[in-house]
Amino acid sequence: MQRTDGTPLLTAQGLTMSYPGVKALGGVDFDLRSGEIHALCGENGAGKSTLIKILGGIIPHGAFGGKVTVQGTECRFNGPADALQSGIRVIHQELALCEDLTVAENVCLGEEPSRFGLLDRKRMRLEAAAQLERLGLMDINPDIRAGTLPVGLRQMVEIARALRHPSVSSKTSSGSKVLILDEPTSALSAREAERLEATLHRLRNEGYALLYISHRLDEVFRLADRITVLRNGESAGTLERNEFNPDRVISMMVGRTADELFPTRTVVTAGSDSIPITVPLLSVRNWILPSPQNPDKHVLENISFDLHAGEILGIVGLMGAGRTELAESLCGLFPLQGRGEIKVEGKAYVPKDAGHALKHGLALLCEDRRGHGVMPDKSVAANSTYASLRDYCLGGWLIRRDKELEAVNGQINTLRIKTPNPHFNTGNLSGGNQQKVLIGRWLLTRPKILILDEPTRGIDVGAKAEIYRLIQKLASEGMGIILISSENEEVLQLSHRILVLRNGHIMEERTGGELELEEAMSIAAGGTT
Amino acid sequence: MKRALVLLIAIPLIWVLFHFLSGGAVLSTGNMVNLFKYMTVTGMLAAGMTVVIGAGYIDLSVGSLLGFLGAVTAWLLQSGWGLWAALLAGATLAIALGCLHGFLVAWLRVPAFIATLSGLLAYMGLKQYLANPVIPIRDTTLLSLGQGYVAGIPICVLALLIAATLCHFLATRTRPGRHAFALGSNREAARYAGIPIRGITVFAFALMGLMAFLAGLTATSQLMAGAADVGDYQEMYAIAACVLGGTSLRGGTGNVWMSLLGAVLMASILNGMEQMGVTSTVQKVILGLILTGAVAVDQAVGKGKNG
Repeated sequence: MQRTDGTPLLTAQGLTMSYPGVKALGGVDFDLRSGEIHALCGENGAGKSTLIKILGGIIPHGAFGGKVTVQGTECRFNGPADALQSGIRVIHQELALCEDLTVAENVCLGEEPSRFGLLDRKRMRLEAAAQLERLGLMDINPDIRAGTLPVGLRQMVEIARALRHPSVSSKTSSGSKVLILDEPTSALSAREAERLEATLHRLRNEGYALLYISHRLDEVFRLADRITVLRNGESAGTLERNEFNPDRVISMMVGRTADELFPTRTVVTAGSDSIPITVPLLSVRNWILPSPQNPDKHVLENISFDLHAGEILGIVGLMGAGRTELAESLCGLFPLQGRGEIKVEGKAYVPKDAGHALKHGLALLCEDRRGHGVMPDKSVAANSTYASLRDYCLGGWLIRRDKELEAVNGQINTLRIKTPNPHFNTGNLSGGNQQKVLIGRWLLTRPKILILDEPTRGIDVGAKAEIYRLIQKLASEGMGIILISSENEEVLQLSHRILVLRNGHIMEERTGGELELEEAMSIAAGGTT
Repeated sequence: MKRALVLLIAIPLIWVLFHFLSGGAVLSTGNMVNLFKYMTVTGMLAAGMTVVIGAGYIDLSVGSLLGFLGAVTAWLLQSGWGLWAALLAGATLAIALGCLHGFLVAWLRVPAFIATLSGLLAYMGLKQYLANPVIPIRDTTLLSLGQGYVAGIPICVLALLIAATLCHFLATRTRPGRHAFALGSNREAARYAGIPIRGITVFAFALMGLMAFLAGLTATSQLMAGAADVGDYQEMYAIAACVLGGTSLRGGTGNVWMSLLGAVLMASILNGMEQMGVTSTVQKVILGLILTGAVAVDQAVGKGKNG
């Protein structure tokens, strides 16, 4: 409609921001045009979050250096409401839905249609349905409680809400139309991400200026018109579409090349030196898991597989395929009991709860780091030993701090956790380092089987490479590893064996290296069988 | 510990301020001893409450419970039980009731607020039934807990220090204590980490029960009788002391010694007003304002996590 290429809608000049002791931004310049998707890349700690906080008004005017102008006038935001008034809407990585309200209520939150001062529920439903339709989400029932939706769909509801806000959505409004999305696809399945991409293309053509933050470079290359890379709080440069090149972007981000990202796969076959043929570490037969929402439906259907010592077993599948449910049910963390037969080292095992699983040597690094992982106001040391504290206790009771600290320091060194000291609040670490603390928590339980559910979600390229190397090292030392990730490339690159899950069924089992990305996706999505 | 410094400076300042306002009545040895004797019951409850709140719960029953446990002990003594037998029975009952609270919360999933609110009502009724008429205490050993001195220090203050040391030790140096605060910090993460949530919940409430028993003995001994109104509103003072000491009602944080400083702060303000001749009705209003004001200042300064 009104693609006005070239004219900057929003400009940031010389942005600087310091927290006590830390310089978050050291002079960032960039501009955002109407009708473009502008990707912002950078490692964790590069300053992306700070930049978003400034643009979204969370860091008020005066607290940072430099200036932000929208349509030629300088912005002096005192809070997010001011930014919203200027048409800047931020969709944060952490979802901000009211889980107890319905989808329609969430979409209309703060701007509820009313009649005679009373809520007009009918219009609210219609408006919400219209917004959802615009996003291609006709399958979401506006009357369902938002909390019952999977994470991926909740994200979409939040985008629907952002687009509905009058100053952002109204085509007649004088306000600018800026939509900032912070890692919008980190929780989405490939199909949902595709939907989102289509929507973003449409919004771009409607003249929106979209600032898109993502760790997934393939996505950025597909989607973006321009890429700005931040490194250590400074702009490392802006690339036009014809300059896009993965190696170049990665080296701009980290100062090293992409080849170093994935370690070479060690070939492991049963019967070789590293894996003698013995009973499998974990053997799952006909594992059936009922759905908590609908007892007649099964989340998992007749899942059977073995996991051997020293093996990395990758699980590929779309969101909702049952990957996380499989991981959680094996550790007794799923709300319902599964049926079937599980053996750990040949002995029957019935999942009960996480403590029971740990006793049998099963540890799960769960996908929801904030919700189910970290105790943010507790120290790195405490977070590291929550699952293994008994090992550092006299009589299972009295904590021996010296022993504990020794073990924690060991983890900090081997995992290269960047923390000033073991007593530092875990919540103040970067996402990648929090993840390492959690990996350390599970390693300290000395598991035989380590299940990693989205181990690299929301962490930067450098930390990813370290985690990949760690996974390989652990496997080579004889641990059995189940690797679940939405980043299919990492599963395909790292795994010795790969299961493709679709709708709770194992559709395919392949040896690592024999499955190409496109084929895996097509099996997972149901293109072929 | 910035807050510790603030409290350690504020408390003497309050003494000096009220000393002058009251015409020199506060900073006498006799009054200071009284002030600390007065805060022991709240302090004992606050020590246990720090762990309960740290685990993400609340215990509203402790005021009635301490009165009830004190009355039970007094009644057992009156009925001819020996002191140690009565104390053992009282402690067992206290821990059992604490475990009951924990059971209701952890197994039957009754919210702690409701379970202990029910306890508040139930123990209040039992206490009023049992202590009508008042049961005098004649056992000299028990009386010395509330009345006696060792080297010029009231025995009840020593008892408080021992109780607080025990709670602090349990909270920071033992597995159940560490896990209790993990529970309050992120309950789901605690479940995923294999922390035995139910056991830890029972632990926190049982410890609270034991502290209520000690507080009940102290209060009964100070009054020299098991009476119907012993312990009334003490649960509120204990929670207020925790909050003044920086404990977040959202759970996960809290320090026993800080809660004790909160209790001293509160007692100092009440004592100062008492010495000025402010009536007890006005004292309550002012205390309420101070509590809210302190938390509001805390939030405005920014670091606060009270709620």
